[in-house]
Amino acid sequence: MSVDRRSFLLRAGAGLALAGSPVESLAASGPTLPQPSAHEALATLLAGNARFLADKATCPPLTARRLELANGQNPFAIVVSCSDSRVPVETVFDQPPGSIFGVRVAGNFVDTHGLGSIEYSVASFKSPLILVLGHSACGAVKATVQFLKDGTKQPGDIQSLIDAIAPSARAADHNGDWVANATARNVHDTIAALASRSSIVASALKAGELAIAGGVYDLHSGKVTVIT
Amino acid sequence: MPFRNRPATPDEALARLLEGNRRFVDGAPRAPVPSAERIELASGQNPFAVVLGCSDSRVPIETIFDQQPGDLFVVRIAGNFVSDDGLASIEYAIAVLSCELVVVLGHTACGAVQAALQSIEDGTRFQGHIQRLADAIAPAANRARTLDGDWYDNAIIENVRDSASSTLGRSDIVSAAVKGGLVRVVGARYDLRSGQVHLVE
Repeated sequence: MSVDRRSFLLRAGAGLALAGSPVESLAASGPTLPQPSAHEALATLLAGNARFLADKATCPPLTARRLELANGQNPFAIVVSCSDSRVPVETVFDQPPGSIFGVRVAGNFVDTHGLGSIEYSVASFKSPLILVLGHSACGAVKATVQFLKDGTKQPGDIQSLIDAIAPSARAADHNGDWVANATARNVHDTIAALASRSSIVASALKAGELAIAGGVYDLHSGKVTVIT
Repeated sequence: MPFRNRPATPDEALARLLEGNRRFVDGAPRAPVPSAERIELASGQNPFAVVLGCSDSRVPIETIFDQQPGDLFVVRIAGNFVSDDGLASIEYAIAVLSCELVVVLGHTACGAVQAALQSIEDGTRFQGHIQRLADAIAPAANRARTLDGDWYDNAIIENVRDSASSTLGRSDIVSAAVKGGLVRVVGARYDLRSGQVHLVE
């Protein structure tokens, strides 16, 4: 879906109750703007990643875009990703403001508040796609594997990140590249947790209004590989 | 190390962010980083600031501060409050990556803050875990109700203040770094219409 088409959709939706209140549409399940299919949403993200890879990122007209969006958002994808500074999501997918509802925590897993954030976008904006995005050489995953190998603990609350990722790392294949295996397993487990812990996500999946994909971003190549 | 020159102090870090926001407001962002620089970053990251922002699609952090890959460690949650795992991520950014600045960034017309107001005003209970967002913001929203001016605007600002102070209050790592002059924690609000980031004192 092109930026132009989305701009049109946003304008077309200007008469809806978006201006005052995304919450109203959330509470009442009121009218929402048209969204692409999950398949189209994923294709849009991957096309943007291809532009990023080719050093052909678009430079969107930011000011016009900002003013269009001031009255409401209509993100077509929810991306759950890592806080790592090398994985700026909108840059990696070459998407302008308004496209991606972003949930970011070190290690790209979901806690209760992350889940609430995702549910908010599913319920309010009918975002058709959730993409859980891990990345190579993730510091949180590396620290978790280290912890499992020799018990190295992290200071302060940082250990809670390791504890959250540990079940995935433990279940991942220790042979070969344990960190890469744990990264993929963490993506799969996060996806499973979304459906099992959230009735909003589960019912949208069942109704065919939502799909969940998993991917891994390679820090060297810049490429996002869809793994599920 | 292959990293671009990094600000030497928390104040310089803040100035760099505000300069970037000025470029964004002016519609004159820098050119994208060529892939060669991206590949250099693959060996390690060295972000100078950690930003706790909202999940709202209209507030893409790196875009509004016009910063490049490797510059900002980013935590995003609807309502930009401090969750347990968000706090752990911020601690990681300070203890492991030596970030010099923590920015808590709220924004105008925040849906999560509005949910908190609605929940307080008429007892609305949102479905699923969404109510947990409203509950997390409720203390700031309740306090804002007693202030002069617009409740919604004040709640957005009070929520930023609460997040900034609880980042400090709940974390020994953050408070020790601030006490040692290594880190500054600031609150700010992004205006969806003007694109400007204003500091909240």
